[in-house]
Formats: sequence, C-alpha cells, structure tokens
Amino acid sequence: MSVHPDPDVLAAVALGEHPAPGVERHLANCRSCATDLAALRRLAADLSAMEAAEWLEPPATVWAGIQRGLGTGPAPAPAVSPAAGRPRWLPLALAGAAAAGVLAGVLGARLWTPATEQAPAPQVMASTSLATLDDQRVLGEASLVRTPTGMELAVTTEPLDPGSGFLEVWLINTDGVRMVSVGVLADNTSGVFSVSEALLGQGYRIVDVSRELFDDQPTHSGDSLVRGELAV
Amino acid sequence: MEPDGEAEARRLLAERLRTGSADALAEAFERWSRLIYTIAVRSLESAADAEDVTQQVFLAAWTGRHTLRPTPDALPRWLVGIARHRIADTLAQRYRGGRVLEAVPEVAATSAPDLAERLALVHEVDTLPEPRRSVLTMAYLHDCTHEEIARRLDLPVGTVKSHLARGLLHLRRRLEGSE
Repeated sequence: MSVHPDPDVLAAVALGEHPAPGVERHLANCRSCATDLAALRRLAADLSAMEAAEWLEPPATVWAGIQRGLGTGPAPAPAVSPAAGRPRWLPLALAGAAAAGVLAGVLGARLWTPATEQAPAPQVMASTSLATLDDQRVLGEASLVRTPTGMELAVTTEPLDPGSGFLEVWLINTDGVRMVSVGVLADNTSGVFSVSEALLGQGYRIVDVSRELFDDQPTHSGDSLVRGELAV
Repeated sequence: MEPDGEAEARRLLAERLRTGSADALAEAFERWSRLIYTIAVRSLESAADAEDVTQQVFLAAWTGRHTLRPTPDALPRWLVGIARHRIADTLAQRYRGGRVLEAVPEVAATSAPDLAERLALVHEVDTLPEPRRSVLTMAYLHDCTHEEIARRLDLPVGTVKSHLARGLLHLRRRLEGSE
C-alpha cells in the first residue's frame, strides 16, 4: 500500500481536481482515504447548496433572562415558558380570530393548508418503564411518540448518577447484540431524541441508559443503569 | 495539518464551561446566540418563541455543562442539538394547544433539522478567518470562478485554490470533530 496522500490533496480532489495517477491508485485501494474523500465531497456539495444567511441578533432581554436564570439555582426555569397558553406566534389579527373559535378553524384551513395536509397530533405509540437491571427498581420511563416531524423517544428518569462521566441513551436490538446510541441525557433526568421508525422495525426496541466516561470511546461502556423494552 | 487556533480556543471554552465558568457561558452566548436565535426564528416564525428557545438553550447548556465533552466541535454541535429539541418541543406544544390547522404549513415548510444543519454550516463559513472567509463566500455563495476571486482579492490563483482546499478541511474538522 502506497503512502496516504496529504489531506490537502484529498480536499483538492474532492473539489474536482483530477488526482495524479499514484493518488488515484491509492484511492482505489485505501478504504480510509476513500471514506475521507467521500465525506469531503459531501461537505463540498453542502457548501455549493448553501444560501447566505442573515444573522438575527437576539434582543438583550434574552441574555438578561439567562443571567436571572443562573442566579436562581441549579435548574432554573426560563422566564417565559412556551407552554404558557397565549399563542404569541400568531399575528394579532389571527389571534383574535382564534378566540372566535369556529371561524378560526375555517379561516385557518382556507388560509394555510388543504385538509389533506393536516398532520395528526403527537401520539404515544409505545411506552415502557425503565428499571434497574439487578433488582428491577423502576426509576423512569420511556415513550415513543409519533409527532408531525417524525418519531421521538422521550426519556425521563429520577436523577441518575453519571459518576465522573455522562449518561447516554441507547436502543438495543432484541437480538441482544446490536445497539445504537440515540443521545445524551443532558440534565441526567430527561431528554427527547429523534429516532427512525425503520430502526424500531428492525428490532431496536430496548431502551437503555448507560453511564459513559469522557474517553472518546463511542461504544457502550457496559455500565447500564436502567433498561426497558418498548412493545411496538 | 495546519494549526487551528480557533479549534484550541473552542476546546478551552468547552473545558471552562464544563468546570462552571459563567464567563465561558457568556462567551458561548456571544459566539453562537445569533446562530441559535436565527435557527429558532426561522423554524418557529415567531420572535417571542425564538427568544424563549434561545434562553432555554443556554440555560440547558449551563445546567448540563458537566456532560459536555471538551473537544473543539462539541460546544456548537451541542447547542444546535439542544435547540432542535426545544424547537420540536415548542412545535409539539402548539399542536397540544389545539392549533393544528395553523401550525401545519410551518412544519411542512421548515424541516427543522435540515435548516439547523444548513445554518450551522453557513455560520462556520462566516466565522472563518480572512481571507479564507471571503474566498469561500465568493466561491460558494456568489459562484465566482477561481480567476475572478483571485482578481478581486488580489491573490494568486494557486492561493485561492489552496484556501478552498484548506477551508474544506477546516470546516470538516469543525463540523465533524477530529476524525
């Protein structure tokens, strides 16, 4: 096997330059360089497709709200929750119409979408309790929710101890061998993760929360804290 | 591999945030709040909801700081990841609020993950050091030829090509981590 080409050379090839014969031969035989080249080509394609962005500056109240939040303790709530009723995202005139009930329905349907495009409200497809492996203590639960934008896995637990690392959520295949990471339980008690329906269809149904170390090892540590199987 | 001071600065910033520095949070806000807020405004089409989401993202980053990996790419990726979840939550709240009819076209029009990824990429290009930023912007946003870029920036064509190649490697490291 010839020596790996310089990253600059791979990048130039990804940008359309014809590789020298030696480089071309190497790329045909070296999986690692071919993988790198493919990733660089994808990125170049993304760059070619990008549009200029107008960056919007958040108003000063946002940072002020964060500072207030920092002062109030370890788990501060934002100043205003988006759950709080008022539909602020509607233009005022339409908010008025919304108050008029039926009219809003008719108006909304006419203005924005034909009835066939309406997505269903989020729907819980399956859920399971999450229990410790040794003594089956229930410490949390996981739900699979179908939302208009795709499947989500919502995990909530009692505060779990990440030790010196962090908590990672996995979907383990019912074959007991294969598994995929779905994300990090950032605050050690809850998280919502996008998951693909195809994955669940292939048997990845066992929700597992493990304790991982900051060791750059992407594989499961083997240190599972809780687990539960979704009956899909 | 060329030295990347920005990568080291980001790694240090993540490390400082992880150990509880409020200054580090302020610096992260200074660097990435425009990205997060813009993603939120364009996904939610509501300034008020976008303000809430932006606030929640940085507060969540603070409360979850212990879980942050101190690598150069971890912090922006993590912030964008939290933003996606909060945006999805906000959209879900709208549905639960019985405003399905009104909310549907927005969801259909702005598929949040793609938008977030695209904006994160543009943001990285916008924060590249000069003249690399101008070279990439002219090449990719304005479809200029290498020769045009060379003429307008008064650089040799070979230098333009080298900025494009190294810019690509640079962005890959920032977006995907040091693989």
